[in-house]
Amino acid sequence: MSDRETVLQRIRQRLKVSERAGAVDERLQQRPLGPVPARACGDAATLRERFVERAEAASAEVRQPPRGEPLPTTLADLVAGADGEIVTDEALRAEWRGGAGRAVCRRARPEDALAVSAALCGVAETGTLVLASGPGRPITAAFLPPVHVAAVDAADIVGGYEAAWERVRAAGAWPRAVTWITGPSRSADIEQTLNLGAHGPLRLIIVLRNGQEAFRE
Amino acid sequence: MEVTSAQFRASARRALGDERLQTALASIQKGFPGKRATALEALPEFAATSDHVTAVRDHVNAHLDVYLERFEAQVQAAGGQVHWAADADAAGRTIVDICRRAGARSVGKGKSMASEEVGLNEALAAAGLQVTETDLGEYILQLRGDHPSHIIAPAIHLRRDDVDTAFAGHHDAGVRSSSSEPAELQAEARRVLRERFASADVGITGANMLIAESGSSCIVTNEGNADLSQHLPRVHIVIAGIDKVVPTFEDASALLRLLARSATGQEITVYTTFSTGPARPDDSDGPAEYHVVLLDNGRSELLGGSLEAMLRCIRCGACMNHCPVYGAVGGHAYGWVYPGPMGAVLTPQMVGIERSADLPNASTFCGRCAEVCPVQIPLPELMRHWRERAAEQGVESAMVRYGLRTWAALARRPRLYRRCARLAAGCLRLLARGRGRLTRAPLALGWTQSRDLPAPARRGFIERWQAGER
Ligand code: SF4
Repeated sequence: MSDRETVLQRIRQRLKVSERAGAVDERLQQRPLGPVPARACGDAATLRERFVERAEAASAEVRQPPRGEPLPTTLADLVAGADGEIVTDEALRAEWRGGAGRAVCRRARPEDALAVSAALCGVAETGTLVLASGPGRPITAAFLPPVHVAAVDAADIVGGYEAAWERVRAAGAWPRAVTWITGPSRSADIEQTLNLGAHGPLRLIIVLRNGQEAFRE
Repeated sequence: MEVTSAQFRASARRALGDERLQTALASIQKGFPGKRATALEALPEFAATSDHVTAVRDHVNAHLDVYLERFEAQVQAAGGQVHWAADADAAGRTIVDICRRAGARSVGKGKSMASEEVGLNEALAAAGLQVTETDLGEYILQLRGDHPSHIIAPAIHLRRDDVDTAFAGHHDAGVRSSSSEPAELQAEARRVLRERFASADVGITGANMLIAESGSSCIVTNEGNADLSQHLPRVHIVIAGIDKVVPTFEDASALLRLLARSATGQEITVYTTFSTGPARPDDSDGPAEYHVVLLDNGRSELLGGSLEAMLRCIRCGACMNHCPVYGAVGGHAYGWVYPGPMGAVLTPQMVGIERSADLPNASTFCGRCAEVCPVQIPLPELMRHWRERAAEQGVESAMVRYGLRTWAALARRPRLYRRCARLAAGCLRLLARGRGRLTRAPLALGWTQSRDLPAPARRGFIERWQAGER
């Protein structure tokens, strides 16, 4: 008997019930919600404010540039401080044309100093960014460079995680990786002393914009 | 990992005398419970969410075979592969095989309790693979040939100079940090591990959840190491217990609202990643192969019995952070992978009660663990179950057996019992020398070394009752 059959048979013997597939498929289809917390609810302005507040509480830096400002301007200080290529999403590359810094869309490498991604949405309840991998969207950019920037449009701030999943479901083909990011990387493994920048970025900068939904191109 | 749970008493005694360990343990009990309490206060819906998730976990357990089949079908539909492992050996063999077929030489591994449970590092090393633990705490332990003492803070028993010594013995002088400040040591590990991440052929991670609707694995970290292990190498292998399945992303979301708050008091961990299959043809990055190894190893035996609730466990560590016994002796004394109250229930199941008969006694039955458990597992009750099994099988520890048998013989002879009790009380009073409490007592050194025993009153209850003092 294969391990698959052994394990399934053990389970069935212990459970002693027969027809349960119906209940499972129904639940998978209906996807009932659990309690959605009050902090995940509110109008757009409230959610935007809560998103910024929770993201900052998790040590993310939030920049809110004037409408229409291109990324190289908002990020001028970071670009000046980083040599080499800037790893970015295909959808954001046009903004870099003609400006300082060489923006490329490719998988990140250990020597990269700066990456700029477009987030699919932001979640107000915990100040969390939702990123997805895909063509023209290297997810490694969020983890290897010491400084990671994520651009998100105010129209893409949702209340809770459930609403974020609605966005992912609506975006089409399921991405290989969906990542929630809340603040920069950290560890407290040495004497419970919290330090930022464990393996992932030391700094996470969120650029919260208006009318620039980069993720949807 | 060698099972030393049978030596719980000796290990516990050693731990109580270990000053360095005691300092570390004091910091756990000072830190985690307070942070958890603050986080719960900030989420008024925590209790309702706990009820909801507990019900979801029970629903999945009652339909586990079907959920596993649905999960498997979805992984395959996304281009991934599912492997079933009935026990620890099968899991090790399967993973070694995948690595061999991929022609792999080096493996980068995220923290995974399931992999500790099956002794995966040993299996991979025996097959000639070079394995690097990438979680900072696990990496330090690997360099020292040491084992985790806490499920979410594995190196909690070490101090900065232990880490400094471990690094000095393994890192080139060129990458060494200039001091033993935690921040410097962490930066040093970062420098060393970057190259390993980039060069690993295979990345192995655990899973906090498996999502049936899509065939996804979900893993949370604060460091980002599990992400580097699952997005960079050519092959990603997930090892997860069959108890990790949840139906939908909505269910996963509810569970995530409990997990970090219960574990570290964070609202959410820094990184929560859902991986589904290998990279798509046009993706910018991601692995070419995606495998999930589903591990049973004793879990299915918990279904339908009095220990079934244990399968709800989300491995948050809250029960150990709040346990006075764990707080006194630390994780290593429990002698295997899972410490604290959850370990006292799981270890007998996985290694056998005859090799761990002391663990279900490692409790003061204060009930804190059950109170803080986000999925409402009645841990003291489950420990009681194992104590009864141990007694039935005659494998309870010699001390308990001898003591109980003597007590039982005496209890059946009330007059003799009373005489003995009076005699014992007299002796204890003598030992207390009028101070009303004992700092040492014969046959109970384990008790009195860490706490005082109140001296008995001059006249016992029965004597006073008989003398008419009512
Ligand atoms: S038993 Fe409960 S408190 Fe302990 S680790 Fe599991 S879920 Fe957390």
